[in-house]
Amino acid sequence: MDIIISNSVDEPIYEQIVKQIKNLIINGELEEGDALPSIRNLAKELQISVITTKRAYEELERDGFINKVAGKGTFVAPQNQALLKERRLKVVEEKLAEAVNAARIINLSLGELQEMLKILYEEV
Amino acid sequence: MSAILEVDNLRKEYRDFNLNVSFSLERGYLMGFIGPNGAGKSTTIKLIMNLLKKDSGAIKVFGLDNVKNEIEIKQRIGFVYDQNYYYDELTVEEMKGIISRFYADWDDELYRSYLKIFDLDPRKKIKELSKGMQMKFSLIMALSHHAELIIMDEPTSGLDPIVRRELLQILSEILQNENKGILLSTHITSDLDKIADYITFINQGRIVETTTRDFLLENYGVVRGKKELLMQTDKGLLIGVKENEFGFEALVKDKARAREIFGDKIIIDKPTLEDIMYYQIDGKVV
Amino acid sequence: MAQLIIKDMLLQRKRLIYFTLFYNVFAILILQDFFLPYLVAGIVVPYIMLQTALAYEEMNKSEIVINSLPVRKEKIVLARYLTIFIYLLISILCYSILTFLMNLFNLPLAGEPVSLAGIVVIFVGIGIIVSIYLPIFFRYGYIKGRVFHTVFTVAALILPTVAVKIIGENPELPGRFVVEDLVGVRTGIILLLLTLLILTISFNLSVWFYKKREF
Repeated sequence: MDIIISNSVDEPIYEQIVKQIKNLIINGELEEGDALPSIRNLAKELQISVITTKRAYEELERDGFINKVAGKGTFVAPQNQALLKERRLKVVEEKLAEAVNAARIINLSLGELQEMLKILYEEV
Repeated sequence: MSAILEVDNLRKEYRDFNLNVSFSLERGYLMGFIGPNGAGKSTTIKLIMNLLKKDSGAIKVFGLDNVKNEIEIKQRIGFVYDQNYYYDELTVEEMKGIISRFYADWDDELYRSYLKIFDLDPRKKIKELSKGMQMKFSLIMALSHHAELIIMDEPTSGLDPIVRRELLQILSEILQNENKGILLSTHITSDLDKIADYITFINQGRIVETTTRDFLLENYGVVRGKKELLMQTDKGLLIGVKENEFGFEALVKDKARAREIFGDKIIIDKPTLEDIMYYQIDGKVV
Repeated sequence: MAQLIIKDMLLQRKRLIYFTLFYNVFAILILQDFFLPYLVAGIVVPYIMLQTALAYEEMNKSEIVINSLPVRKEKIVLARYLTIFIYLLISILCYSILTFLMNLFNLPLAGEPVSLAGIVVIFVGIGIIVSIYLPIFFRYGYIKGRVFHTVFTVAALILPTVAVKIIGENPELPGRFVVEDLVGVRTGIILLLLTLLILTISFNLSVWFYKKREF
């Protein structure tokens, strides 16, 4: 599990962590029941305050992404599959929107864009 | 009661300096105690250790009064001071022989493991050790009796950056145990940028602020802009204003508000702890 | 507390052995016919050893560490008092060994063997000196305590000369200062108890001062 934080962006570190873990779960890299590092371990490895990691985990727990099991640790919570799917769809939608915008800028037609999509789908 | 250290209206008066501080530390965290030289950091620590007598106020360690329960408390405290005050002429092993017998929970195996980790030869005389090794020795003494609270008074002054990083790594390891607490006083704030959970900033005998490092980083900022903007500001927003030929710079405690007022006309940078100290020390508030 | 005593011994081991040896030999050589050497050595050696111990402690600034450890002030103070009497014993032991060896090899410089009365005298002597000096040290620290040290050293230099003069002017007093005559058993016991009392008062005073000390 990779978590990369940056000190130089405006976004608070705990938010960066929340986002990255959410993405890992949405992308399927972290699955239900997977163990997460303890807040202290994570703090030590990332060289940040344990208060930050605690906050990140608390938010993730609040949003239903992870569960803290007393005495055992923190694990990825069972995800509402429908919700997960919806989130994943949203990611695709966002990326497609990006592609559409990029296409518009260079005046690519819808047909040409669809052609590109077909080719990529078969290649990747 | 989870506060490992509580200082409440602690007062100490000298002829030309007086101290009046309150702050507390919970188990499981590291508090950076920062301030310029002479601010009162050492005085506060000595008061906690009962090396100085307080004039009034309360100091509680592990929930116990620091004078009434002095011995009991000291059993559970590990201390590291700014200089080597151990006996120069003795070897590491001899010194340890003396110190260890005072602690009920002395763990010799733990001591030996630390010797290995730090690569310290117990047969060497203390005066033969480099400054960095002497500090490591102090740290080993402080850690080998399962101390719950570790108090460090400027432990890194005079040490090179590599040794300082090593020390911080070790402190990080110690904090994996959520029952321990660390109070680390320093004027080298860059050491704390990576490790402190809480920051207590003291200046001229008074606490300027005591809060989480996260709070400081999220709300404070170093603002830079044209001098004419100084007219437009909210009163008290810009702290420690420094003007030069080309503009001004200042600290703000409410980044969002500064952005509201000045919009794009200013640059707001993330503050380091040093910035936070620097602008507040004798700054002009506008 | 035993640790604190051991600590002092450890720190001074070389100085202790050499100085005790040196001074006892010196005393035997210089004073043999005149003043019981072990009396003088018994007062000078512990006192000087105490001074050097305190000086080293001060130079090292190690009182900060000692007072940060979980140890009662009473024990720190007690250790100081006891160490002196240990130095005393070491000095007497050294003297006895020297005398024994000298007698063994029939050297003309044999000193008078240690007598019980002599020990009492030294004990009283050192006891009184220490009872005055240590509270001063615990209250004011080593540097200010040096004032007493200076006064004492001056007195120690003057008094023997004065004693010489008195003995010189009173020829009926024997050349050798015979201690047994002066210290009968009953007087001895009274003096001992008195000294112990003074030491106890001194000890309590020292503890009281030390508890108020700031580092």
